[in-house]
This record gives sequence, C-alpha cells and structure tokens, in this order.
Amino acid sequence: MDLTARLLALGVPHPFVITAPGFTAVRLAVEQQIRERGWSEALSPADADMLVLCGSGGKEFGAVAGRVWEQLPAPRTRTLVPDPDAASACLDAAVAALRDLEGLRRLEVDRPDAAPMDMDMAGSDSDKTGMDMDMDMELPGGLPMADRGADRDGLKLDQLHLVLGPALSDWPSGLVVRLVLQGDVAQRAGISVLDGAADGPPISSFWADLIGEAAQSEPIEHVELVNAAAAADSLQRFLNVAGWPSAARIVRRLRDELLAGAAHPAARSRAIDPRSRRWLRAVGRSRVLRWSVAGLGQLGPGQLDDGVPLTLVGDVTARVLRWVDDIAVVLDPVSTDAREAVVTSRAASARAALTVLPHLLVGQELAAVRLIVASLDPDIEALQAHAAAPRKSDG
Amino acid sequence: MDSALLWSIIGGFVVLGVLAYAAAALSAAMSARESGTSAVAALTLPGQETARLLIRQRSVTPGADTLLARIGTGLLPLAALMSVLVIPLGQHAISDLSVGVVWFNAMEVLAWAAVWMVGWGSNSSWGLVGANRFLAQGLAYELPHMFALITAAVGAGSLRVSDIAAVQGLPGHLWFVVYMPAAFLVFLLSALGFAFWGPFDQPIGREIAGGAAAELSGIDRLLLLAGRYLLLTAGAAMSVPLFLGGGAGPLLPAGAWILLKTAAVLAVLVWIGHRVPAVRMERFTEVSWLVLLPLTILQALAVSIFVLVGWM
Repeated sequence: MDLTARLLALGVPHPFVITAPGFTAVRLAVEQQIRERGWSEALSPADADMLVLCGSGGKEFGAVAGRVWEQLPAPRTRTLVPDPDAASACLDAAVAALRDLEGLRRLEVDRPDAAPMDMDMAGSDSDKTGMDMDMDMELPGGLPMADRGADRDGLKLDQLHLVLGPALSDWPSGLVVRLVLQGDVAQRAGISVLDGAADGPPISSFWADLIGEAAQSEPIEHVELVNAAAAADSLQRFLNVAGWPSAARIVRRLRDELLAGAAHPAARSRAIDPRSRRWLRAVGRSRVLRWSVAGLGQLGPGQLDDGVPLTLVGDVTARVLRWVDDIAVVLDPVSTDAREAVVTSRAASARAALTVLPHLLVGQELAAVRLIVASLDPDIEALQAHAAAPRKSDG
Repeated sequence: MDSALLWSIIGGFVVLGVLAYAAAALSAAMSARESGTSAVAALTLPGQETARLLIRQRSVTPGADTLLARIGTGLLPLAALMSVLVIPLGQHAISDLSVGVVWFNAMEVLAWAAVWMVGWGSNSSWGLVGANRFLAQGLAYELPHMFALITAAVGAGSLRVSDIAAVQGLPGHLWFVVYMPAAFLVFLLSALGFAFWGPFDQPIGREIAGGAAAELSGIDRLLLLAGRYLLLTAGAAMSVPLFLGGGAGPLLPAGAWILLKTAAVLAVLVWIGHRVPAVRMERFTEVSWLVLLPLTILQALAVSIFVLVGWM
C-alpha cells in the first residue's frame, strides 16, 4: 500500500449535499447519516470530495449538479440517493469508492486539466467586480468585466451578479435568488424555483404530508411533535446562517430525535437529550443573536393584499423565536405559556414568502439577505405539491 | 547559526504546533459532542483532515490570481510563527526583541493582508465578500487592540515582552489583569478577531460558502486552517506575559506555568467560539468604535496615572 492510499484511508469525507425539489425525506436521512458518522458537510465544491444528490430533479437540477461536479477537486466521488432507506448504503458505497485508489485514478484520466468552466454555477460568480481596466488588456480567465449601473446614491458602480441556490448549504431546497449587487448591497433580486422531474411522480411535500397525517390520526401531541420537528429543521438552517454552527448541530440532532419520536411515539420521551433543552433556552435568550439580527426583514400583517400569514409577521428575531416556541411546547410542556395555535398551511406561507422576498431583499447587504431568506424558510416543496393538487388540503 | 538558537526555534515552534493541534482537537471534540457522536474519536480529526488535504488536488477558478492567493495562504501560518518569536513559550522567548510588543502587533496585522489576498486572488464572489469582511473586521478590532497592547507596555515601562512579564513577578506587584481588566478583555476579543475565530469567523462564514476559504482545496486549505489555529494560539500565548504574570506561580517552574496559562486561555477562546453566535461586523463596528475604543483609551489613561503616582 503506498503513501497516497494510506492517507486516503485516513481522511474523513466532506460531502456536498444538493437536494432536488420533493426529496426532503432523503435530505433528512442523508443529514442524519452524515451527523452520525461524524462527517462534516463541505460548504463549497472546492472543499468537497463527495457529491451527494438527494433525489433527481428536472433538467435544471441536472445541469446544476453537473456544474458542481466539475468543480470538485480530485479525489472525488458522487452518489445519487433515490429514497431515504437507501441513504446508508449509498454513502457506504461512496466511501468505498473514495478509498479505491485505482478507481479514482481511472475516473480522473479523461478529466481535462483546468477546463474552462461555465461560471454561471449556482453560488459562484457569473460576473466579477474588478478594477477599472483598459479594454485592450487581457481579461482574467476570458471572463467579461462587470457592468456598471447607478447605485442608490446616483454613483456609477460595478454590478456583481450573484446567484444564490439551488446548490448552496443551509438554503431552502429548490429556491433560486438572482441578486444584482453593488458592493455587497442587493440592488435587485429575482426569485425562481426549480421544477421537479418532468417524467417523475408529482412532487409531494414531506412536512405538509406528515403534519396532515398527524392531524388525522393521533392525539394532539403528535401534531405538536411533527410541528416541532419541522421548526427544528428551519431553526438549524437559520442558526448555521446566523453563524452559530454549535447550536445548529444541537438543533439538527434534536430534529432527528423529534422525527424518531414522531415515528415511534412509545420511545418518545427517552429519545431526547436533556442538553437540547438547555441549548434551546440559550438560543431563545441569546442577547448576542438578537442584537445581531434584530430589525431585519420586518413584515407587517397588512403588507400583502391577501394578508401576511401570522407565522411570518415580525422581523427575523420574531420568526426565529416562533420556531423556538414551537419546539419548546414539546420539550417543556409545563413551563411554556399556553399559546393560541396558529395554523397556516406551509404552502400559503411559502407563497407569501416568495411574494415579499424581492422587496425585502433589495437594499440589504448579503449577510442580511441570507438571514432574511433563512428566517422565512419557504417550503418550495409544499408550494409545488399544492400547485400540483390544488384541491387537496395540505395541512 | 549557533545550535542553541536553532534548538530554541525548533522547540518554540513545536510547542506552538502542539498547542494549536490541541485547540483544533478540542474544537472537533466539542463539535462531536454537539452532534451526539464520540468526542474521544474526534480528537484525531484534525490529523485525519490534514491527511485528507495533503493528497487533494488544488482547486483553481478561471481568472484566479493564483500567485496572490498562494502567497496569502502561506503568509498566514508564517505570520503566526513570526509573531511567536517574541513570546516566551517555556523559559525564554526565541528572540527577546526590545520592541517585542510592536513586533507582535506587526505580525498579527499581516493576517489582514493574507486573508484579503486569499479571498481576492481566488476570483470568486464568496472569496471577495469574505476578504472584505476581514478588512472591515480589522478596522473594528485593531485600534482597541493596539491600545490594549500599549497599556501593558506603559504599565511595565518597556516594549520588551520579558520585561512586561518580569514586572508582574516583582514583590508588591499584581498581575496586570488586575490593574487593566478592560485591556485584557479587549485583547482576548481581538485575538478572536485576528484568528477569525468564534463570534468573529464571518470572513470564512458558513453563509457565504466558506468566504475567503470557499475556493481553497488541498495544501492551500491546509495552510489557511493551520494558520488560523496557530494565530489563535499565538494570541493566547501573548496574553500570558502581557496580563497573566508570565511564568509567575507557586511550586511549578516558570515554563510550566506559562504553558498551563496559555493552554487555559486557549481553551477559553475555543469555548467562546462554540458558545457565542457570530457577530456581524455591521453591528460590531459601532460597539468597537463607540465603546471599546474609548474604554481602552480610558484604561491606558488610568494605568498611566497609576504609574506616575507610583502605585504600580
């Protein structure tokens, strides 16, 4: 065994996970596997050695996955996880491929060295701010220079076109936001969503279906449990965006425990780690977090013609504390004040969120853009499932 | 070069490296505990990550200024190693310069250049945003940091790091952390800042896909991550002679006390990084300039008066 193979065997994989619309269940299973194996997710293709595709989507999703794959440095491997039960086996196979030196070398034989890449990759730049250059100079990488436009103070400034999503960590699956930035302030924001596979089954919404099932069959606590799991999923994503990965790891684990509890009600009470309660209280009370995000993305109840859903009213902090409360209802049923149950369908709040997003994002700097999107966390899947079956109630 | 100097350089760098690895391992273990996996198994993670990065292909984006970015990644660990030349890790510093405090400050400022060069050179939006965030961060922490450093120097009447430590060991003198608590806290904050650690890690933030480090792979990434832990360790090590009495302490030899105190400060810094959410520079700059800067100036004034009156 040569040195390369030995070093290869030592490394812990850094998977880059992309989720197709309609495959939240697969994402949750993959994230749980990654957590339990002690891996850490790559934040960018450059750091990743394993591309994990959760489900397959339409043409656009395939193109994005292809462009991300091109950017993974060697050694690399890719895997497609078609359904939640396959997650463990797929990741096992991917690790085996990542340890197989001969296979890896064969894979890279045909790879063109430093190939000109399509720079319209999700989350990379399609344009570049830059120095004021003469046009006869050779342009870096043959890329076009930045356009200029008037900014809000009437100055001519370079414009940077940045595409957020769909291949971006801690980002709502299927959402694409096209920003025009000057400096790091968004001047324009365009919203679109990824379609599902044209020939595949219609998109179903994981959370909406689960909540719907829980509402029909079980006692009321069951609905609360599923709601709490959904809130924990949104909250862990937000905490990562807000720069508190430690709390995000705790809440991600809590989400998995809540989901396990929802699947097996008998095992519920012992499944939850007591430290989660302490952390959740710490998140709810953190002054630094509130101070850092307060006042962003303010939404009044009357801001939309057909009203803003109650779950979205307020600023970033208000929406995040609502998730904390949703979880606290399950963890600390005694100490939590009795609240009015706010029932808003996930599809309706996703639709409202997408409608207000362009207005909320304009004039914000990039960090604020990400915080606002994370605090709204539109469930694209629920929206698409609702559109596909308009008569069906989606909980 | 005489062999004693060579050995002291090797010894100093080895101690720094071991402490930096310990910091990385502690952070990995805390992360594993948060994820509900084995903390003990995570202690080897930094080593495994090193192995992984050593054999990875470098990543190059079209139009990247590769030279600039690679100078940047190399400069970061180099700045940490150079800064530790004046810090006593063990009995003596490698080179006890008469302007040691200024030297440390200058080396730590190199991190500004390094991170910015990495981010700009990688020709990626994320890298650019991360690089500029670090400049903004530098503007926020650097002035209070300089006043904190100079306060310790005023207290001892010397810019030589060993003099500052020695004054605190004299009979009738207390550790400087007692006379100048504000300067000590500001110094710890800025150590978090220049190592872009914990609440100040937004230049390589998750929400900008790794920021300045977004396009780094292989050895480039390894150098940046190693440089970051080395800088954090250097910051912790510097706080000991400046504020915590250097090698002063009962029973154990001075070298052991220095190591113990450094390790303790380092552990606190790592812990803060896990327990405090990120602070956005947009909001922190206000606090830094309106609260921390006047506070450190007042602290320097107070210490100057103490010295004139003869209380310290």
